[in-house]
Amino acid sequence: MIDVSGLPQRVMLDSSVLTITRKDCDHEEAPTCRDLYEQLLKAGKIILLPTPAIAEYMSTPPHEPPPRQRGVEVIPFDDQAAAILGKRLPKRVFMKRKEPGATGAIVKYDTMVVACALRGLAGALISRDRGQLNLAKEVDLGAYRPTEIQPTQGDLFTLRHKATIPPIPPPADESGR
Amino acid sequence: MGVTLQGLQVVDKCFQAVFKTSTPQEMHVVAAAMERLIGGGKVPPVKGLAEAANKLRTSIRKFGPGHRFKIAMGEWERELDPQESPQGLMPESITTIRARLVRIGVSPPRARFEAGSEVDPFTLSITREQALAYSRFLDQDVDIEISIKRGVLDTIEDGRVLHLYPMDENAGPDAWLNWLTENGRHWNDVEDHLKELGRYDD
Repeated sequence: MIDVSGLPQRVMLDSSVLTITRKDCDHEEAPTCRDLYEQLLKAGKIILLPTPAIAEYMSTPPHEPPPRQRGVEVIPFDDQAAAILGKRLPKRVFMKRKEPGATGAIVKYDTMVVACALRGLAGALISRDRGQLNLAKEVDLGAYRPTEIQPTQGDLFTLRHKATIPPIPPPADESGR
Repeated sequence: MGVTLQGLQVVDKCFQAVFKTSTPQEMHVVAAAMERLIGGGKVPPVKGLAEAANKLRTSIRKFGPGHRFKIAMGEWERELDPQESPQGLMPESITTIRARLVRIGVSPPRARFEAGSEVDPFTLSITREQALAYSRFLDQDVDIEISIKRGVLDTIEDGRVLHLYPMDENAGPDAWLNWLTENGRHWNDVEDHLKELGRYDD
């Protein structure tokens, strides 16, 4: 059983996690992802789901409207998230299309997910996508694979979360007085 | 961690704003963050800080040019430089967020919310009919579709509630897990999920 006590109060799950959290999924990491979902809710933490990830998930119909459930919060990619994406990840917003003869660029979903995490005041992003985890670390967001979250690493999460507290100003004798 | 503006007063021909932090130990952190915020900088979210800094910035800008302002705590002092808003405009936008309805007023009708995705609580206009209908959701989490204006520090400063959606009564802890299972059967046919999600493309 995963120990989530060291994780922040608000944790975002990426689509790479959602797609294998299904009850009937036989992926090797699926039991870990389901356990993560259950333990986060049992611990009273808030699971954040980014709208771009839900769009990825719902790419193949049919599908029912998602539920409104306590403890699970959908974070919109709204104007605030778009502004965050532009300001915090300006060089990561677009990816040029690789198809022969293609022009223009596409906005990458994984950058939108990271922007949603910042917009939703997430303390951490859980993903199986190494590139996305690196992206999250670029903006000082806690970033972990589901399989990294083990009972013995609880203190590590606590330490990383504390690192976001602003520095204390210098004492009076160092401030030029 | 939190900060509130306690009041404004004139002391020894000086204008003075008094702030209170949740604990005495937080004063240094909040003072440093306040100085950076008023100077147009960004700081990690501290409950109430943006609202307090906004009020202080508005107050001291009313003095106009030619005045100097300092933030002080004991012998620690910093000169304040209240910058212009970097955004200039306050566009109105519509979004939907999870929030807790903490207060309803009827004259004028207003609703106050706290949201995990917003640093500070915020108050929005509602109609009298909405005030009567929403009262049964006090102290409950709800999803709200809102039309809002944000201030220079990105906090919600004004707006109105368009719709309020209560939590699904039958949604237990497994509701999302069941939804993912029922609506994601096509993912069973996918061999490499990361490839399907286009995560190897860059």
